[in-house]
Amino acid sequence: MPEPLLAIEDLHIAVEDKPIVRGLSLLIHAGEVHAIMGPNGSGKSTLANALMGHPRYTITGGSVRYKGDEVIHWSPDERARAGMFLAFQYPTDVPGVSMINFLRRAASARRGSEIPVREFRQQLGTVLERLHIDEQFVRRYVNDGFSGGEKKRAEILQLGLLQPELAIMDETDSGLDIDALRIVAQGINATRRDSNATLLITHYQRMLNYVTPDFVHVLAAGRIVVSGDATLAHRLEAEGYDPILTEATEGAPA
Amino acid sequence: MVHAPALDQRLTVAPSRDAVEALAATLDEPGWLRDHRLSALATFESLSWPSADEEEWRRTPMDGVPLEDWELPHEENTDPPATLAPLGGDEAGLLSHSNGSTTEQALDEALAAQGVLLLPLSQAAREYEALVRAHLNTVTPTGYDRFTALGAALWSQGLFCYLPRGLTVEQPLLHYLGKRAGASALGHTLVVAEAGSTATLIESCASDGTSTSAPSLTHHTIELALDTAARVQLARVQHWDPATTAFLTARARLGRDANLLLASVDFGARLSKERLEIDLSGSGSHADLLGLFVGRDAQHIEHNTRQNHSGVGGSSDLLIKGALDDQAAAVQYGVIKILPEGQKTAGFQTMRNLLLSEGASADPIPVLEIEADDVQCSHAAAVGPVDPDHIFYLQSRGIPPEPAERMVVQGFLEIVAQRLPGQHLREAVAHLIEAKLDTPRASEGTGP
Amino acid sequence: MPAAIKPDVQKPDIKKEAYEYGFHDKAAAAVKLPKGLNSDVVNTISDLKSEPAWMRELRLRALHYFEQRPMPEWGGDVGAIDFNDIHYFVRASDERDEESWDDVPEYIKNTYDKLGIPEAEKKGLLAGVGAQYDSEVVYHNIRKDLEAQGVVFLSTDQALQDHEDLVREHFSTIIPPNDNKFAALNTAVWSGGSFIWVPEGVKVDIPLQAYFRINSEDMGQFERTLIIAEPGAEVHYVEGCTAPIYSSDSLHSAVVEIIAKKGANVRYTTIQNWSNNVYNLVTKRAAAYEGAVMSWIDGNLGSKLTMKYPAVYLMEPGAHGEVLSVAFAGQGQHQDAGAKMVHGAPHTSSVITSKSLAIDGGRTSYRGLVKVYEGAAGCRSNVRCDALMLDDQSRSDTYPYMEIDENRVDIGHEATVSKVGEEKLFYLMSRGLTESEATKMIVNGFVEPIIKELPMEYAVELNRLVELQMDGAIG
Repeated sequence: MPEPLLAIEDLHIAVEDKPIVRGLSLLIHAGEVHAIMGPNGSGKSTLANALMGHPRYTITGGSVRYKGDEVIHWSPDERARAGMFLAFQYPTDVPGVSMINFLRRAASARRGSEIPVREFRQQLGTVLERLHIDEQFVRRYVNDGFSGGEKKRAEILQLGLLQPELAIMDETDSGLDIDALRIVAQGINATRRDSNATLLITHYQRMLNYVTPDFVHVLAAGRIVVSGDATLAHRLEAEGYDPILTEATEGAPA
Repeated sequence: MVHAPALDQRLTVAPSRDAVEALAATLDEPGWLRDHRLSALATFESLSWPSADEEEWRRTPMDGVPLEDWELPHEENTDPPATLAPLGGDEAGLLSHSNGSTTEQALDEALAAQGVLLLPLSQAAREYEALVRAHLNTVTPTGYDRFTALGAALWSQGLFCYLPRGLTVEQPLLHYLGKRAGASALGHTLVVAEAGSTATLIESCASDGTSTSAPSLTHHTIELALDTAARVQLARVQHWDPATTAFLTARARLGRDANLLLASVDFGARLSKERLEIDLSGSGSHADLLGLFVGRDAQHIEHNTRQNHSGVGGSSDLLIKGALDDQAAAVQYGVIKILPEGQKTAGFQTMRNLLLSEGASADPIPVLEIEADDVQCSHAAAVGPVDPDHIFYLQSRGIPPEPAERMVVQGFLEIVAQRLPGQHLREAVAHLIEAKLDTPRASEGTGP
Repeated sequence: MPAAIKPDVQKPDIKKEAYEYGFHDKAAAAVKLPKGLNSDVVNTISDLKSEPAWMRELRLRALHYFEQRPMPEWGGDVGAIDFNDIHYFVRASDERDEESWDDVPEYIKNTYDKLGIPEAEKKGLLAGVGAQYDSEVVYHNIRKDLEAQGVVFLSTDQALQDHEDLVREHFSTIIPPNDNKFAALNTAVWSGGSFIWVPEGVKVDIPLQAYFRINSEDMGQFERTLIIAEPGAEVHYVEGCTAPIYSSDSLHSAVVEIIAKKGANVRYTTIQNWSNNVYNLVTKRAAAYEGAVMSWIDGNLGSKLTMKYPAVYLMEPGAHGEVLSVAFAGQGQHQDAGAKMVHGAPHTSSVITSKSLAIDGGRTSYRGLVKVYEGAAGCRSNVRCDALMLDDQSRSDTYPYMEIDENRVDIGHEATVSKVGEEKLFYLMSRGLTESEATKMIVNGFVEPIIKELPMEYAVELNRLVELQMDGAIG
């Protein structure tokens, strides 16, 4: 077995001294797509933000190794340069900073050197075309005045451009209509490689109709309570969370 | 013709040692308070009146303000003015002052038994010397300026309110202040709220009279000392006669997590200048400052406010809204000051002036002085007429333009009025707004 | 009475010495009046310029006003200025107002080369260039086609010689000699500056530029600029300012008067990057007539203390005034900047946008006035001030004065003070930017609304200056 891309071991995360994630372990290898599903308040977004190093989320125990390195003390930008990526559930706006300027800076950071303008434009053009995004889009200020769908598209645009090795998608499907969802899913599929991995965090199974996961995990009260393959997601869709959670807590070995 | 009532005692004197001693004797005050007054008198004599060189006095029209020649009555058994806003009905206690003497005094027995005090300040100085001495003129020093020094030397309408630790007074406490036209009034309100106490105090002041009454001067000092987590609401409705020049100096000091609402509602006086200053030195303390006014004729209505943040995590929110008709003028000079130690402060200021006539004017000046970086501060100020789109919308639903404008103006003021404490007060203020807007212009009036 | 002052005349030192870092020239001046100010100094300046008698009288009258007026007690701290420790006139070279850079003394030309001025002119980015070195303009040129259309672009000294009537008609009419202490000082000892006259209907399509440089130590620069746009004319004037770093302080006290006649469009852009030992106390005022548009774009990055409130007097219906201001205060700096809009006629409008940044103990103050006279119905004014605090050592003040004596108006003011948001920082850092890169990016975004109003090369320059300031402060 090769070394996992991401190894989470007995992770505990607190927000303002309140424990949210309580002993979560997960291994993700290159080439895999994992989905973490769970009811509201189960700790999904906390996990996503903490993996990216959001200062408001405190790791109170356990470890997160990315490509073998402990990253808990890495700053968010270090993680990004190393190939981690978080598609935010609620991307913030940055008024006055144009998307194109921001994207070029981000692409250069990911690459480790200043990306030449021509090369950048070419790359950007390809991604924009693939995602059916109008070029005028990148002239706007970052997420400023964007609709919910536009914000999600902007996140997928960044995913396509930055080509991370580990992409964490935090509820990227919520609030999208079916066409937007399809485009977003295509964006995720287009970046799928044997050398990278995706962690999809979602409340609904709907997204998984377009992006087929290799593994599905159910998160409840800060722990993974049951794992399985894509069929688990279909069961969740059909039965809801309750029977599966009951089963899991009544001693079915996870 | 002005009818001069028979006077029990009348002090028509320049502030003097004799006047102070006579007043202290009349109010049966202990020696320490008389000495305190005399020391304030010395301060008064050492100071000069504020001048237009000072930023906060630059826009105040001091011409015609009777700074020298006024009378301080001390009259027993006078009726309260008819214009005094009736706020009663559900009060837990009340104190009435009129023409320099206490006319009514009451407090719920259960509250009194628990240690709540609502007393004339002179009586409190006699009966609770230690408590009063420990707080009097600590929030507003006598030498703050010449007005406060004058007030400290010669106030005759004083109130002391004490809220014991952890006690909640559910119903409002009332303070009525009345005077006849031509008489001056100097007052002092001292509120001491111990940790965790809660109360609402409503002050209503009024005098019957017209713009042709003899000119008079009033000054009132309010001191609010809020200990940890105390919650106090103080609302003041000012309805002096139009020959009165009214000054108010209200200052509050907030302990940790204390919460204050200080509201001033202005209808009367030819010139009303109110200084509302909050010292948010307690971490996590919060203050709401509200101002509401309707200006008519040649009234000048001025607010000077300060939100001083030196505690961590404090917040303050100022909202002043007023409507100005005829030749009325308004000034708001408000400062949010955040000292370097006032991190994580949120400070807001909004001043909105509606000008209903061509002669009306307003100068809102919201100032920020920020020396800490982790803060959130904003202010907004606006001056303008009633939005014609609003009028049009109401008209399109069948309402004629004049009532439509009235609705919009009342709606504009309602934003502040709805934040005043107590249903009785809100209703009284709504009536006063309506009455003030309905008053015929002085030039059109049929009055005396 | 002090004895008559003899000008300290020296030959310019052609063999210039090696530049020090911060590149001030060590060349001796051709004329340098001794320090201090009195009527003899004023008379000597007037003599040196061979001025008409009316100008000399105006100067002497202004000197009297200057002496009468107390120092301002508001705004910044000007108490340390010692008026007796300043050279009021320094003539760098006997060559003046040259139309070719080849005729400018080499050591002076080198200074401007380093600032990139002749290069920009060569590239055709500018319609005309003036360069002032200490008290006087050393180079002046304007594109031939504009000259042919009658556009006048001269140093104000030269204009007084060539177009005396035009100067006399307008000089000191917008800013009277007794307007304030520093305007009085400028009127008494003014030297240099630009005079621009744009004939009716002529549109100057690309900017005219002036570049102001203080070179001498303990020197006061008092340029005087007068711009007259005849009906329907258009012009954009850009000024840049720098000075070397000395241990003692210099004083820059300019006066700028602008007249935008009916339908004219005048834009005045300043990128002020004086070294941090310059007191920059400037009076700028424009009168805008029917339908005219006057805009001030004001970037204040340098100086020890700047007090500057560009004003527009909106004199006739339809006039529009605009001020866009960026102030950046770092260590030891106080930027007390703002704007003044005076609505003296109905249906006039104004917009003030101010963005200020304080870092490293710097202090920014927005100080503004919107005044609406009774009868000026239908006026609109919108004021928006945003301040960004970059650390807990700095300070930001906002003093937005409003005097509204008319009800049929729409006057609004909004301001915010905040720090760089944690969410924004995290978002950018999550994309691989370091904290300082992310901070710079947010700062650039913050000033973007102003930057985008600048001509390209100034936008680049201002961005660069902001980044330099940030580098100095956050590393």
